[in-house]
Amino acid sequence: MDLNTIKLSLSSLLIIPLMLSCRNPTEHKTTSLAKAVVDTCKVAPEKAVELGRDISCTSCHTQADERVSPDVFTMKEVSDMDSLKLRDFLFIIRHKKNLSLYKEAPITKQRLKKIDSLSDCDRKNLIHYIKEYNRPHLYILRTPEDTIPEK
Amino acid sequence: MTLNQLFANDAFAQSKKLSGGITCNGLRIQLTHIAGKMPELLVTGDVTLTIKVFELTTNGAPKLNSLMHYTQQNIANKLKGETMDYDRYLSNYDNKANKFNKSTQAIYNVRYRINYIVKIEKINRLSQLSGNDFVLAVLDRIGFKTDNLNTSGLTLGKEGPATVVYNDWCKYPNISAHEFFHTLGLGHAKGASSSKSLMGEVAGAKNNSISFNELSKMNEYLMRDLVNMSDGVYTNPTLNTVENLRKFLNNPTNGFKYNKTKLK
Repeated sequence: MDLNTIKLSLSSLLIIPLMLSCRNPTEHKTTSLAKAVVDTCKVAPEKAVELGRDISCTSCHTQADERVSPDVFTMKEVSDMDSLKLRDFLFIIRHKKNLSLYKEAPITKQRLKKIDSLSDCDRKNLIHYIKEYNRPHLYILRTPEDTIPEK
Repeated sequence: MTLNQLFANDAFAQSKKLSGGITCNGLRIQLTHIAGKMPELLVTGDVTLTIKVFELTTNGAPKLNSLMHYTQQNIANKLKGETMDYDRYLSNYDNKANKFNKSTQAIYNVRYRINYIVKIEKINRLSQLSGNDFVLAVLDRIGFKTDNLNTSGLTLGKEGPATVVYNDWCKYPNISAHEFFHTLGLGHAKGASSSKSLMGEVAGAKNNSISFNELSKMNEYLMRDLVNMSDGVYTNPTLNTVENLRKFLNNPTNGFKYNKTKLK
């Protein structure tokens, strides 16, 4: 009798943790864990142009076909780069390494420091500006309708 | 020495007229270096810009000569004025030798005082066009409308080719300068000032001013080859004008109406 009582109480002790472990206490919280990350950055052409002018890439990366020095790309070459490579190459590898070279060019030094302080979104805009350099742009000039006589 | 420079020197030696959109016979450079300040190059001299007007209308263009004359004056006036290019990375300027030394580099502030001589020439055949020319094709019509407005000019930005509709050019003489300035790298003006700007998206009689920033941008583009331009006779490298114009005019999505027999 005693043995049976002990067996029963032990088995009930085992069942309770089993039942507790089978329940999912966080079930009602799963929705809050799956939080969506929304990218709020919008590439705005006008902002990109403004950033491009401010940084003034073409002061060093010449618009001419010929490089100024063997290690500094032309603007066309820079624009030809893949966007991901451009991001690493322009913002990390080259300019940080070369900052000391510009100690006698305060405006350039300031511009390069500005590159480092750009937000992720501004960097995207700057990359857009650089990529746009090589893209053909079609400009449409319009006039009021009455200027062309119908034929 | 590039192939273009070689041709340019040869043409000059034979007293032939230089061909190309941008030509010059050496620019004068003066270096000023005050201790503690950025060295400054003062660039002066004459630079000739030649625009070839390709008349492709079906019924002729009786007012073309006066329109070309007006455009020449308008472009020359707009390009007047001194601009600065800050911290420009260039070949090192050797003051004693009076020339750039391409083996070393330096950073300069560059002050441009350029006298632009603008020439506008009428052409009738594609063979009169060179690869490094600027071209403005004059057409009957550009066939698509947006927001109830007609399209009076269509240009493939930076280096061209550029086009205008003849009837609209007669009504708005400024539109040819607008289209040409796209070929020098300008985009459309935005914001409140765009209604008076030559580079506004919609042409009007009052649209005829350009900003200092726009002038600086055009100077930066025109002077991009400064080192070679200062080194004797210069003509700009190829822009692939002939091929680009042919493709542009034959692209059906552009909706150009013009006398196709004249393109041959």
